[in-house]
Amino acid sequence: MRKTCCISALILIFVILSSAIGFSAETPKSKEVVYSLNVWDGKDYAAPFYPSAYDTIYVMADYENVYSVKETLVYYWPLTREYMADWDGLNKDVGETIEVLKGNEIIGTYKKVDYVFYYPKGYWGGGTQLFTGDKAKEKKKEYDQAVNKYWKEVEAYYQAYEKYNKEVEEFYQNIQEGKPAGKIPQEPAPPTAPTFYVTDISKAYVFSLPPGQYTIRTKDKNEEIIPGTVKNLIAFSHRREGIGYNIIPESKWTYPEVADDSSEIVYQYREGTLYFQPYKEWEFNELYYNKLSKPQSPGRSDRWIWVHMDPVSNVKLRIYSGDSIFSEIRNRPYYVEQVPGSALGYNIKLLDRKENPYGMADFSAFKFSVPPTGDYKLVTIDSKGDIIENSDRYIRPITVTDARNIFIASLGPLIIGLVIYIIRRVGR
Amino acid sequence: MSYRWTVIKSIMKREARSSFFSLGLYIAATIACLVSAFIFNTYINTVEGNNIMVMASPLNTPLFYAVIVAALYAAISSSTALSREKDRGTLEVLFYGPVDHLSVILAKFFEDIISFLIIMLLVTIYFAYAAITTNLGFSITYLYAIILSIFIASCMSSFGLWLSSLTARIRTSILLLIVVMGGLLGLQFLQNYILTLKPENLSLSMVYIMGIVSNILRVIKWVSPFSYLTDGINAVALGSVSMYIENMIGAIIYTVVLLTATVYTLKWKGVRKL
Repeated sequence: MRKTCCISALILIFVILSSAIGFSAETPKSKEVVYSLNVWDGKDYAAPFYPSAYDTIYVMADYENVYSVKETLVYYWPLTREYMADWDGLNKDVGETIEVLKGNEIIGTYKKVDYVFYYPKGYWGGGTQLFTGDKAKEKKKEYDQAVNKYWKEVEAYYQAYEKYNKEVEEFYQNIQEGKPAGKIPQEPAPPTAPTFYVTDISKAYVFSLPPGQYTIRTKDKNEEIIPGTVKNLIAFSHRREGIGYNIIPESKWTYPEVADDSSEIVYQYREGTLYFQPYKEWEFNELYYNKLSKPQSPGRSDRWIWVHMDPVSNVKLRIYSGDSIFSEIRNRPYYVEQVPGSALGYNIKLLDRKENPYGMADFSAFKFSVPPTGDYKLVTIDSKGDIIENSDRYIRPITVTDARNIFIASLGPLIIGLVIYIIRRVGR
Repeated sequence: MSYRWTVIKSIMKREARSSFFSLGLYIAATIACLVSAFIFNTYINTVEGNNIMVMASPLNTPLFYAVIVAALYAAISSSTALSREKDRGTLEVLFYGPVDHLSVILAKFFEDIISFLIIMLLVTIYFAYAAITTNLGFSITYLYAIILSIFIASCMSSFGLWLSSLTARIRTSILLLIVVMGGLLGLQFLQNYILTLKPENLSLSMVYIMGIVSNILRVIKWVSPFSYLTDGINAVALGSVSMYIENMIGAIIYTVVLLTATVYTLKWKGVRKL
């Protein structure tokens, strides 16, 4: 007994110590060669970096991604439990060529090229595009010209405004003096700044890979492999494409729900109105997709996640009740009107462009008023009239308002047991 | 072999009959249904409060808890099975006949599985009622979960039988089961709770506790029948066929190993009342 207790105590101490060792082992700030990437995540470019502790790089297949090899200072940040790079401390470009190997065969050798990121709707507007080589230079030139033109316009605007101020002064002075004032001076319109943005031209390795597992390495001027640059590289693609929905309940329009998978059922409390916003979506392996933008984040390789891409256009939603078509609905703009008075409340109304041509819509969606009973299936129909794959969702109104019957029914097995028990006792 | 099978069948029939006519099995089924009723009630409240609820397989969560209750019943039943007979001296008497250790253990094991199936049948009838009344609906994943639950029950039952073979008294058996199961279940819930917390929001002591718990769980993952239950439910929820099959194979290996251990422990400890 005493021996068992001693062994148990030793095991416990070992487990506690092993945990303590794990948490006290902070990595000091150390010089490392890391990969710093700009990877396409399906919607935009993310910028992960791979310290030496992470030996697998994840990228989206068939899309051009930007690879930089840098020498920097890497440290462990215990608060978020991740490695960070001190780019201000050290940010040195290393290497001359990147080699990508499939097995032992080199399938690609890449040199640094000029590249820029083009933001058509401004830096925060999304829709980022990558340009390389001469196209990158053209885009940068286009942006610089647009900016120069804007500054010239600004200069001209200030001059015109100064002239306008003088003209206004003269205009009022003439009125005061009883002289003919002429027409009232027109205020000059301010120039519009470029709505797009292009980054400065940088140099990096830019290439795309078909789906597969590779090895990546970087070589220096002497064709020597730089230590710490040999890593695994997984180029992955999506498994399925489908339609995901943002669902806005009429009663809580600022709290939309999402239904991303066909297996998900939309439950509605009795009758009510739901507004559906369909999105194109792609299904990715959870581990790969999480690691794509945040290499140090966890994920499960056996789990798949849907990622919303762009809203779909030129589609309509069809509702089935059983096998028959229940209704077909179209995308419409809606606005939210607050209930007048001090009481809280709102109404969601259709924005009629004829009645209110300058009105602003709060959202546009497909409205479906769910009947109080029955089961419904919603699908998205494309412009050709075909059902888009993985766009089906079931909609069910919850018909019970009182859970008492459910609680009473849960006593059923006990009643059956008592009956059997009594029959048995009486039978004896 | 056929002779042994006849012995197993006759002991199993006797035990199953006894369980069928006792109230314990029905009380366990009622608890399982009652726990599920609370979850169904939560669903109704959620839909009522938010006006909407999006869920893939709403029956899976209540089923998870129902399976825990039913499997715990199987574990309790099996943990007392051998010790009770030892305590009463009936096990020794049994061995004067053409009965060996393997036959007794397999008979007890199969009897537990039958009891588990009866509970799950009652639970399924209740679930069907609840699904129809609320319009929550059944999905195919329910069937997958039910099939998998049999393997989980076999893990629990074999674990209970092994604990039972270690002791000669009912009280000790139950106490041992409560301590071991409570500890394993407690660790599982603690880890699940910690996993919901963001690392950056954790205090240093919490991070330390998390490390200890995950290290302990890494060790006992292979021993705890609850980890097979959690993995199984995850496999069903994720719709992962490989994980599902992996879990089934794992549960079968676990059951075979523990039943073998039970046979050897029983041989080592003997069948006589101490």
